Amino acid sequence: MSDTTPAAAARRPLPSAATLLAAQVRYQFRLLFATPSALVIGVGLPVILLIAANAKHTGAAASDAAGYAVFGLTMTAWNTNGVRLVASREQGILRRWRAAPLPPWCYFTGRIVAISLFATMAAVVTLLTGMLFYGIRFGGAAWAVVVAVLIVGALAWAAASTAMTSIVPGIAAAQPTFVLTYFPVVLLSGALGHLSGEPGWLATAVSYLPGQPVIDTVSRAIGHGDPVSAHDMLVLAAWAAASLLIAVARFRWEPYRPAQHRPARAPAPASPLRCRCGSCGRESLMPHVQTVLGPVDAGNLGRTLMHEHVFVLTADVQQNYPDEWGEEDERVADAVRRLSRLPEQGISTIVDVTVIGQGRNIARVKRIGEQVPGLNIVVATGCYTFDEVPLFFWRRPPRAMTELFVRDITEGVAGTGVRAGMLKCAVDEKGLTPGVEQVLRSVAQAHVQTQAPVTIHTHAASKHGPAILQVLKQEGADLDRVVLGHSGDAVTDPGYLQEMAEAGLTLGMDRFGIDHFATFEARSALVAELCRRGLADRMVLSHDTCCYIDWFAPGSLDDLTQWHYLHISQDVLPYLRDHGVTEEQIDAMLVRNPARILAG
Amino acid sequence: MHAITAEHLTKRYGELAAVDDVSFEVPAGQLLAILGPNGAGKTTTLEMLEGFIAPTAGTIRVLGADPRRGGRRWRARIGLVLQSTSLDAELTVETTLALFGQLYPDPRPVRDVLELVDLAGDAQTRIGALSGGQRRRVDVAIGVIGRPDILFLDEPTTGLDPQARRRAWAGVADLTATGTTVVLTTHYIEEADQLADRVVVLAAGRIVADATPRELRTRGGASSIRFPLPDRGLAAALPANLAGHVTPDGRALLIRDADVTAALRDLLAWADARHLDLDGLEVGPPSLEDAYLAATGGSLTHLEEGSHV
Repeated sequence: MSDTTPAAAARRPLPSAATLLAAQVRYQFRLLFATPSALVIGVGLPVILLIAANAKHTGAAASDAAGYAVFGLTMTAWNTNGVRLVASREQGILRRWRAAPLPPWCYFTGRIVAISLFATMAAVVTLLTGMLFYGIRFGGAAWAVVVAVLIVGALAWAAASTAMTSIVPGIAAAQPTFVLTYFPVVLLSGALGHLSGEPGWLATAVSYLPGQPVIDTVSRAIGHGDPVSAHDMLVLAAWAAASLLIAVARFRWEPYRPAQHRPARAPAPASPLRCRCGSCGRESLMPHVQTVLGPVDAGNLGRTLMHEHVFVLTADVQQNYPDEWGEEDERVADAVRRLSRLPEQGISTIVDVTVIGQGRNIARVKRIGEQVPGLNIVVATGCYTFDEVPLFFWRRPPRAMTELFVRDITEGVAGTGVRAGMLKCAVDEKGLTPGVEQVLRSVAQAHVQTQAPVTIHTHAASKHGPAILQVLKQEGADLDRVVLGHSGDAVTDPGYLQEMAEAGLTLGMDRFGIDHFATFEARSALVAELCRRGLADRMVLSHDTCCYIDWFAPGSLDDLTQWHYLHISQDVLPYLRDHGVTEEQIDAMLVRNPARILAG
Repeated sequence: MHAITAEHLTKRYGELAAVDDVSFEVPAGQLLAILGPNGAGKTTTLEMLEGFIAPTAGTIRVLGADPRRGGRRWRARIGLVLQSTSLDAELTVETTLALFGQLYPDPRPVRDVLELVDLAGDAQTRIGALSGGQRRRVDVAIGVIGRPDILFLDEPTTGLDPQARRRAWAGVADLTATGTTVVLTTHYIEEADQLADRVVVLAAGRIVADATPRELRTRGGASSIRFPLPDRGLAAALPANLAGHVTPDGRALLIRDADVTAALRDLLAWADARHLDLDGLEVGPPSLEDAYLAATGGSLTHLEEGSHV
């Protein structure tokens, strides 16, 4: 029968279903005792209610104790069970169990039985509290009736809540769904005091829900030693059986994923050779990257500097005080001259990460790009702020920002026809202020919608990486396409960087030449150290330099003699080679990682 | 005879073909790596083999059975390490493994499995207190505790540090040595190179290559010669056929070619004539990485030859 060598294991009997179910019940029972909220709801709450009732009219009645015990029982079986089940599903715990050789019904039946036993024990504790402290008395026969109806009642509620989870979309919806469906039933059933004024039809309807049969049976058994009524037991058994059937048919194992977290991919290509971007229609298997001169195959990007600028300007200051900038044509010619030296040094692509807040002018960059044919310039969209959002976005809904980013990526920037190939934002020393978080979320959402990669300016010493990671994960970002910029400033803390890299981010070792934060040697030694730790596939290199920046008075940066586009090629790479970094690792940091990040 | 046979496997989601007419076989005891960029269809393929999703078209046989109708005995012979699963944080590693071990007819002792994944020191640690990499190793431990005949690993080493990854590879190699058939997806080329008997490369849902790592290398990759030039002036003195391969900074000679024998002979003769020491000379085999890049996006004619679907 089998195509493979039959293993000895194949001849041994499988464990019986009863063994498996017993193991599941034990396991779930154990978990419940490790869940404090389950104890609070099952025991703590009913006992507090009992004490309060007793204080109000000295000597709590048997019906009070019965009501509170059943309240704890049903709240546990319905609410605690349902919410925990949804949480397990969303975390992927159910997914793991489905992959095991366990009959599916065994898993959730185990949960139902365990929570029912747990809820019954909790209700018994409440009743015992009533006996011990408030003088409620009843005999052995009544106890038998009470425990039996508690168990069957808990099974009915737990089975119903298990069936219910299949329509609860996510953990955020779980608590309100279960609470809102629970309280009307339990209040009408008289768990917190008998009702008297309800219309007859309502009273009849409630008698067929699983709350009242439990409460009535328990309080009659305690008060008068009455036996179980057939009607009540049948109602409960019917609920249990019907719910189990629904649970078997509809039980949901996979976490719920809202549609917007799975952006619709392009339709199936007519041939496997058509570009997957779905918009350019080019015949190519190779994913491509947008530059100022149009799309370029990711495999042809060559050595790439992932974080540079052409110009960094304060746009409205420049409009009013243009003297320092001088002649546009001269600045453009200067930029062409500087950038033209890059291809000579083997650099064939730069990413200009200038965005809103930094005086982005794509028409100007395009004009420069046309005159430097050997260099691909990828431009970015995003917003650069350390605290508040720019006033333009102040009173607009957050999605307004996301929409602009998406438009830059899918349609092009400001009528130039140039599409942004990267998203950028900044998280500086102040961390995730409300404004900064809004921009980060907008960038992440635009990334999820368009699959454009992300780079984030950070203040390495403040170690905001974990907070950033949390937001990115919440937004469903592909961490493999995100650069944690300015990581290279953390020259004293390779451990932090290693953690961030192992979490999936790529480290931007991208301020070579800015000796103000860290020297050339310190920056280079850090890269070599991280390479030694096996992280070459998690780093990209760059300078964060530019042809002109108006954030500093003329001349004040003259001491940064190595802050130019050629420093890595001329000085850093020889240093790295001398310090044990292999050609293969350099290739990873300059060619393969950029291609992976930019093209996906 | 094969442990796994997939014929014309296709999975469509509306218009999108996540997996498109994919056929391959895995002989018993072999390790197949499914390699490809994100979104290539690796996980979808795996989930069809595992029986979690039904193919739109095509047939699958895993251990002689249709995975959708495998049953408990069949599933007890399959070990799975999936993506994005988790375990109850409150239990210890040992308790969790014992719990999963009970499901199988002949489980490995928990101690042995802990040794295998290098977690023996953490038996009493609660799952919630483990690092991401350690949790991944618990996943692997659960995958192998039932002595599976086939083990499916969906990106088993993602999130592991380089040392842990190497140890995991050693563990997988041990398993294949004892006859376990393994199918793993990965985007680490090195992983496929180290472990796989065969590599299937997927791109946009289709197989673009199906070969041994060695075949792939020789098919797509080029060998390389690297020689750091002792001083820049030497570049000008190189023979014409080598001079074109000087790096832009003038500091090294870098040649990539399917056959570097001739270039190497010329370089040796030239150095010999000048009494130059060949310090720092490196001659490298073709890299699987080059082959992979060629397969997922390189020249199209090459792909047509490379693929036999």
